[in-house]
Amino acid sequence: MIKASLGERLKMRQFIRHETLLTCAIFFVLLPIAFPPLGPALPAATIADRLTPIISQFPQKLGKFGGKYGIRVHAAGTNALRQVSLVLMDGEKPVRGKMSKLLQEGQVPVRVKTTLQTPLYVAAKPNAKVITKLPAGEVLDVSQVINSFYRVVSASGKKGFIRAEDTEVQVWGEAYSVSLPESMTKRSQLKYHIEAVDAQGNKSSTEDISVRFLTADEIQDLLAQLRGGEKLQQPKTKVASEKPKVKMASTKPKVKMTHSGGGGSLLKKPVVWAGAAVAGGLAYFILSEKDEEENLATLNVLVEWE
Amino acid sequence: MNEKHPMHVLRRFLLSVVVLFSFIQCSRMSPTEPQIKEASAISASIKMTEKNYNAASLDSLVLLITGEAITPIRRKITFDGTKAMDKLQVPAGKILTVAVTGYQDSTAVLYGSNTVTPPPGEEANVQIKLDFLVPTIMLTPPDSVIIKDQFIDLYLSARNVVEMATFGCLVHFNPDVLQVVDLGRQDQFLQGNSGSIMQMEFTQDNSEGIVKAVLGIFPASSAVSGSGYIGSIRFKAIKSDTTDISIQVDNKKNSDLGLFDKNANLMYSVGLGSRLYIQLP
Repeated sequence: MIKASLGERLKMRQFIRHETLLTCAIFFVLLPIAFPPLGPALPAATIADRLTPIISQFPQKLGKFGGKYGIRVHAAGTNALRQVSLVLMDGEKPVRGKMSKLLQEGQVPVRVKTTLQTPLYVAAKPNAKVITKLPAGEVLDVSQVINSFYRVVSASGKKGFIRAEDTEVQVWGEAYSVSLPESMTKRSQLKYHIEAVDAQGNKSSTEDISVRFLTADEIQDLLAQLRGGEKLQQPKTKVASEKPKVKMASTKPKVKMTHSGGGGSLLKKPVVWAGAAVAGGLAYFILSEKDEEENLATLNVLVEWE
Repeated sequence: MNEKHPMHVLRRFLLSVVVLFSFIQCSRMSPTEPQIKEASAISASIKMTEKNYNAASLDSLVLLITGEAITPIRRKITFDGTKAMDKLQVPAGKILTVAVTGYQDSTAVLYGSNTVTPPPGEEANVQIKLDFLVPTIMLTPPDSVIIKDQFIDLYLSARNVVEMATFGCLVHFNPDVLQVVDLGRQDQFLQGNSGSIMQMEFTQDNSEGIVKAVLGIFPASSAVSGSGYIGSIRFKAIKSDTTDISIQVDNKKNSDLGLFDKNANLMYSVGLGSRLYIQLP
């Protein structure tokens, strides 16, 4: 009776194990409180994140088949950037090319914060269509500066232009650019990403960006689809469209033609108005060019290296 | 019908105004050159084609004019020999910054800028001297005028090199116009860090029109930095002509060529040649 059976001893051991686990748990809970220096370990990770270079880009997903394709980014790092590279996923082996720094642009904003509620425009013009209104304090990545507008991408993925005056720059950096030659855009699709490495070897890269290169016909088709698919096959429908024209001409009574004749008919013809508009515009252009010429000077530039 | 007529005319008129303004807008905004646009991207290009042997083997040279309240003017210019010239219309009476960037393999290798305030209706001149942004091997002087049958010494010079331990280049010249009569080393710069010079090759081929120079510093830890002379080439002008002498440092075509640092790493570099104007006596 006094001797415990084997089963009871096992139960006792299990009880001891539970107690040990509880002690360990309490120890680990109390450890960060007992040793506060271990506490800042988590924020340290976020500082490390901040050390990696920032790349801000507004990629164009469509390009012209056989045309030049420009890629431009704004990049910055806590340390000076050693290199910004374009990595083309060409087959199995990626092709890496250095992006050139646009020295003449000097320092450019890479990350900004809106100081007040600010409109996000479709284009870099104050009278452009407003996409949405961004709240104050929104952090945005800047990929280009056009006049006094920033081309931005918000954290939520909203893209557009905002007024520079509505923001405060959080991170300054430099602009980098590269242009793919025609020989590299003679394909239907191309994948690439941008990599930035700073002086300390911290590296960051953008997501893989896929670009589709469209031929002239494909662009026309796409435009036609956007307009409602009417002009999808322009050359083919030409013959068909001639028929109703003939029909209309033949069915329209001659009387109507004479009725609408004279000065009135000329005013009703859009071609006449369009012609007048073009002529007026041309005259305006020539006259305004003359004014401009008066404010111009001729500059002779001589460039040499030594 | 007659009552509706004024409305018709008004509608047509409004339509024409829209067309007129869109035409004016187009005529104002349409760029005269593809590069001149308010978009501030400069396109450096990755060139796959083989470069020819011009004095300046750059892919492109981009001129950018900026100033307060003016639309930036951006255009490509080209080197004629060792100089590039351009004439263009700019806004008068404003302080303009004229900057020029030279690109090779999409990397900015040369850059220079200057400011000018052109007076209205007059011609103004601006001279821009380009600085070297990457290590450069060049022939100095960049251009010279000599008389036929005369001799001229051109110096192989290094600019902005960083811990250079080995150097290899090919100098191309037109053998119908020039002949090399002497090659000489300029050791002061290469021995500047107490190293000795290993001459692996410094030869001329007057039939092909090539001078090959491959020099190293021993030990490599005595690599040198900065700018200085490396060697000299004495040419004899045998025909009156204008001729370019180019420098090739492209390691992809010949593994002897290029600039290497003390750890035998290839340095990105550029070669700039020289132009000779040979006149009749």
